[in-house]
Amino acid sequence: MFNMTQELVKILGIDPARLRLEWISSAEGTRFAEVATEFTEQVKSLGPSSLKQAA
Amino acid sequence: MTAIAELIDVTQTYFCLDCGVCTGSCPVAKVFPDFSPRQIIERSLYELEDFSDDTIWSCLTCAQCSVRCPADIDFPEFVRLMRDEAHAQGFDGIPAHNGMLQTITDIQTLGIGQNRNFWIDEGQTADKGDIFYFVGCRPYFDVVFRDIDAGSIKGARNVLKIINACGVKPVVSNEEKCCGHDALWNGNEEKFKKLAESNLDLIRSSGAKKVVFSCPEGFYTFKNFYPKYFGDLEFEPVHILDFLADKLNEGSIEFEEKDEVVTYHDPCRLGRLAGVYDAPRKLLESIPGIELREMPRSRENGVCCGTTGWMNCSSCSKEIQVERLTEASDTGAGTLVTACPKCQIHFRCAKAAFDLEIEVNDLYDIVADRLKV
Repeated sequence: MFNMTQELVKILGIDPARLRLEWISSAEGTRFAEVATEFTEQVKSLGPSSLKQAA
Repeated sequence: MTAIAELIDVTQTYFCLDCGVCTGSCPVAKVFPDFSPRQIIERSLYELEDFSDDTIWSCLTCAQCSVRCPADIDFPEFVRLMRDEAHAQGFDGIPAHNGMLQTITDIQTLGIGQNRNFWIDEGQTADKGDIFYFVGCRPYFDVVFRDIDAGSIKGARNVLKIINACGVKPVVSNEEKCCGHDALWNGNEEKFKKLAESNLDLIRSSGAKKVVFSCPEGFYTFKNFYPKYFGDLEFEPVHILDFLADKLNEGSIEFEEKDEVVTYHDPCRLGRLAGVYDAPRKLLESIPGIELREMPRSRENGVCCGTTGWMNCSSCSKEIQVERLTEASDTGAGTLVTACPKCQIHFRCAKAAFDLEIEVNDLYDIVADRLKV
């Protein structure tokens, strides 16, 4: 399902780097914080998305 | 005047004879007795019907009822207008596949830069020209329905191969949007208008005089609904069957002989709604080695593939599909040929789910496969 969504996002002209899937258990709070921070930074560095520019 | 009374006025359903031919003909009513076109009309006439009635979303809008109606009532159009108002009041159908296909077309209304032409490999295309090939949603379908081997990209490549074999390099654009067919039949007129306006601008800027379709929904929507909403078109929508028929008559296209017994399933947008019955049959019969066997329910009586507008897909849809595939097998044909990418997906889904033997193939795959280049 995730691979499919990644492919669809590419066809729609949205950077697939804006999409991420991670499995984190409720016992892994630190890991969750790390992933959320890292992904937020990644999306920020990509700038405004094509969707925002189009809307 | 209430919204229902207005609807009756516009669609002239007061001519209803209450004969029940609609419900008796309806493929949905046969498997889902709660749904009755006759009762929906009758309740509307007494203003007992309201827009929260969820059975209006079960209609396949396949027009089996309206072609038989002695009072010429256009029930699919009645349902479409009812859905428009229902949607405005906050009632909707149940989107299939978790609404993924509706989301894909929602995003397309935003004017983003798509990469939908990724499938083009050996085919010849141009940036500007007289002929535009409107591919339709095939690039998206291919990804979403890969698990049932939708074959949508293969179909797009084959249609392009056929157009090239006719000596034409068509314009194919990354900026093409969904034609808006599903939005229209999902009761979402606003979304339809956004998509349609964008397509009209695109075709205008390409300079094309003819737009070629292989998808019956795209063809019918452009031919019927675009002029209805936007006035006369500056180009001509052409179905690939007509485009190909001219070349066949000229004798510029030849086929290799390969024996195969097939039966043909009429897609409702191409058959009952656009009136194209003979062209696909003539094309199949002109291919040496192909034997066409008709199903008992064909042409005007051809039964729908079971779902429309990626909505309200249910066990009833599956029942309709399995019955249709069994009807196809019973002719002795090894392949059910259809001319609509959605019919192909729906039948391949039922074939996979019920492990049926019959092959389901696109008309243009068969043609392209046998083309002598």
